[in-house]
Amino acid sequence: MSCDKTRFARQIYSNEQGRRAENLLRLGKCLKDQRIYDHPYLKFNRERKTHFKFDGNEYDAYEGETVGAALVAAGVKTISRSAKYHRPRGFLCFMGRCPNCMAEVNGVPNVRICREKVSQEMIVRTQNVFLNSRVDLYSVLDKLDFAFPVGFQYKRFIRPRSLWPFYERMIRSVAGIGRLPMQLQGQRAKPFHTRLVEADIAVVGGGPAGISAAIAGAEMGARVALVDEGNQLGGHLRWNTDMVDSRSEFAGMRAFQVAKKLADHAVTFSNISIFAPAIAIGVFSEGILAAESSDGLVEIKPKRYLFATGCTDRLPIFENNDLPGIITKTSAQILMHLYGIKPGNEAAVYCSSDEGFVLASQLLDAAVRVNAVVDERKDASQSKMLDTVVSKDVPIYFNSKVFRASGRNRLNSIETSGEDGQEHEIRCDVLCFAVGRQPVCELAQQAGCELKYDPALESATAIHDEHMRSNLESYVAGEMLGTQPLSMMLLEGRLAGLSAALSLGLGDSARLREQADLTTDVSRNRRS
Amino acid sequence: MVPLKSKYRVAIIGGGVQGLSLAYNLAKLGERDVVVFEKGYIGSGASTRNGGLIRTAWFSQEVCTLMNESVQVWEHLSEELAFNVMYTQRGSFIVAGTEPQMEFCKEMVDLHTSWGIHTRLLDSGEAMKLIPCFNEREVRGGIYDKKGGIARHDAVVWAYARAASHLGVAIFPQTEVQAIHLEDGHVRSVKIPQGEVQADTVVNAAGGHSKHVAQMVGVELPTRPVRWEAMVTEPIKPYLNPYVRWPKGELYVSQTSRGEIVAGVDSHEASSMDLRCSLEFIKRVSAALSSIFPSLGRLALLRQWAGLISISDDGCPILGSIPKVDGFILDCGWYIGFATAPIAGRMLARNILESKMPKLIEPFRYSRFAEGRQISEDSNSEKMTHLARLDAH
Amino acid sequence: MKPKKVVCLCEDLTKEDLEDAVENGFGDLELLKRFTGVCTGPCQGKFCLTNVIQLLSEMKSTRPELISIPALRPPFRPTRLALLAGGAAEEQI
Repeated sequence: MSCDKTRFARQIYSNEQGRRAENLLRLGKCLKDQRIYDHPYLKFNRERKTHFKFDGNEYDAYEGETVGAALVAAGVKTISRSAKYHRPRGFLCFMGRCPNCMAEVNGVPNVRICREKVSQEMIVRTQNVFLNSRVDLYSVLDKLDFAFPVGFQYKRFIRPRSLWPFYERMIRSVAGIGRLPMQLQGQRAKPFHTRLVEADIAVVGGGPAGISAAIAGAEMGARVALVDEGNQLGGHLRWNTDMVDSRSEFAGMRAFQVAKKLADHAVTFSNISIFAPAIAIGVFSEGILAAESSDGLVEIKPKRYLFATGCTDRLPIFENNDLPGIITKTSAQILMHLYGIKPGNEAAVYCSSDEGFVLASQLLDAAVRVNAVVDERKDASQSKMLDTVVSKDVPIYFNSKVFRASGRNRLNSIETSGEDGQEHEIRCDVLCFAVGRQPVCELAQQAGCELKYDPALESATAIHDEHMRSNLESYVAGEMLGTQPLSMMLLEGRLAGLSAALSLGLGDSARLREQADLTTDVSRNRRS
Repeated sequence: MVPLKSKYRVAIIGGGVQGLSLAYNLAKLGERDVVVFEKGYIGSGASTRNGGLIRTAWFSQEVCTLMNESVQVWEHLSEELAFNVMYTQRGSFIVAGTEPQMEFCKEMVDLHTSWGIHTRLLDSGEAMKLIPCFNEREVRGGIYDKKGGIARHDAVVWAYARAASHLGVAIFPQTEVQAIHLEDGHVRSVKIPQGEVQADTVVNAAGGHSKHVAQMVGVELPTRPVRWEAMVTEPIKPYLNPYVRWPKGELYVSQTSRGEIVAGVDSHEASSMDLRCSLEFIKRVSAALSSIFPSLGRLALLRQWAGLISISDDGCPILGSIPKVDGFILDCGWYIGFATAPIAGRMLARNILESKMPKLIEPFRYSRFAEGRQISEDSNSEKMTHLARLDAH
Repeated sequence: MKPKKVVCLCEDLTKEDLEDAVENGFGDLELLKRFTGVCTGPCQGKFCLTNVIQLLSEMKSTRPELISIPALRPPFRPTRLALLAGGAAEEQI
């Protein structure tokens, strides 16, 4: 049954926004400023300003903003071109995992600008284009795609043999993304260091499950090394504003507040060594978990691994699903809640769970107009979040899928079709999608954990027993197993941490009893 | 998928580049009653995990001659197989960083010339011109081989498989040979999950698992399994033309047609069947790369992997028949298996059909170990590395 | 811009490209990776692996759980060689 309201909530811009616009006009600067100045729950620190150049144009940024955030704030949508067809691309994940935002920064190729902090006089350039990201003459290749089907190079250029060196030079010149200088002419900078860390338990992922696991282990006397890629601990809680579930010990609080509480608790343990920001590189045959921190390598040699590495948002497949303006739910939340920047002005949400309603609500809080929620589910009779969106007069199309996105170099609209045959065209400059998850289980596999397809997740994740143990040395917990809601992520994390510490001979009979209780709770939740 | 027969004249164990090249060449010479059994997907062993490097400048006459002949086949291979294997001849360069190394290189170049291999000694100026991204302080000169090149390893495997199939060879991936049965000292059949398949000749082209396959006929090969690691960076615009070997860093590095920099170490690990990746490898190779190509430090590592090869006691392949078991042919012990696949396949096909070992591959016979006629390839290569560490002053 | 259903953002591969490759005999995930380049680009499968497994299972009319997951090798994210080289590198960024 589709919910077809015709009235929209009117978005009224605050006085602060209007005042800023006037100032900017007076200074002759670009009017576009997507920053949020009035948010119902969040305050954004904007003190010192800096500036940088992107493709020759100068942009402002506040201290702490990344190049990506500053560009979104300035309304820049197209930031790169795809490798083969030079199709326009924009920010997608804002986690440094997708290929879309790679650019050359101060001569260094392939930098993920979504995560790269702005520094004074930084020079950022689009790579692999003929002109710039907005106008790339190589984009003619998109129209000539019939001449370059997949694997074409294996069937062509065989005769005459004498021309092969010429063809190969041509292939080499269009292949490759970044460019390196032959010699370095720069200043000598500080060398990178290597830190060697011995630990009982290495926890990868500082979200709710990871922090919970680290605390559990530390309470039992384990030396814990906790690795997280964020500047602060908290994982996805940091960029969420929704109320946490009532079963959690943090009932009544909002996610970002819980993140801070958990992080503050973790630092009180002298036997938890926190490495953040530190991006795990891999688990290696020497029994080492290596991570990249801002000043070098961290090499952790643990007795037990504990993976709470979360998920990536799955890319939906429809026509032109790579247009600038099509972003993940996580991306929208990071922009709005970490940087205080609106991802667009008119949004559509594409979802297959209540997450879509939460997101729509968050977009409205950020003064972004939400033109529709497209929900793949038949209906939301089980939903507790439906009201938040219905009350704001946002049209919801149930039982529907997005089949096309349109726009010339940036998203302008999407088209949806429902199982009832109804089609809708929705105007939007940003489409935020949450239609599935892909667990991050590379590190678990490298540690020897077996991965198995989980039909409920429609993706593969690590297997585990009732104590969250995945193999002799490894434990897993949290969102990477599809676990929801927050209260269960915390419990699972605690169970995993407890079990890991018990397996090292730490703890006592009271801990064993706690493990048994947690096991019952977690198993019950999994069954339901 | 062709149906499985109960009997073939030749059964090849191993669907890598060596096994498939042999199958194709047998069929080309008229023997089409050939089957290839591969326990994974074709090329799943070392064949699609190596660096794809081909050069004629080695350290022993036997290997140089074999490689030289192979390069002549490589130059026409795409045409022959009607599949572009992306073979490109951008040259190869072995770096000498010390005077003793330059002296040794000069001796090698003279030897190469006497063996019919056309390499050239370059001084540091010429080397910098050839490879402008070098760290000048590490380069006094070196051996340039204009016939050096690279090919796309997957493409070679597919090209041989397709060509062999078109000629009537049966290829069965995901089919492990579990046992080989003998009768009166002669191979009789192989056992696969589907049952027994009779064969007059069985070829051991099982790469990293060849020792295990030889044990099925009661033969202990003088080889050991070794984990071989490699790594690849993000693709960049043209940066490095020839492929480079740097003995001091025990490094080999090249840039593919796709723009990725592929690199690995040139020394053998201790015996291991562990195919997990090591941290030590990427640290070591990254350090070497950053030393010899300083601007490369800015580039990011995209992926590392490992494969299994079987190295013989002198680092050279073991080919041909063995005295104890009739009808059992060796095509293993390869460290240079990718580069030599085109010629080795041709020579071994002749060996099987004519029951006589061609002169070109005769030095690689199994009996050389018992005869004390090991090839000096490894020892010369190690000397070059050792000389890198000597301070010329 | 031509309308395309992009499955692999890194290598610009469409749903059609992958379907063609499977029909041409590269139906094993490992072979598909090598032939098309899917899952081998800068994201190393983070945004496409699940979709590719889904696509393969539909094309081969098999359950997704029967498609073996390839080895997911380090590094998790592209890592600068200078950082891995540690103090040995001369010029750092």
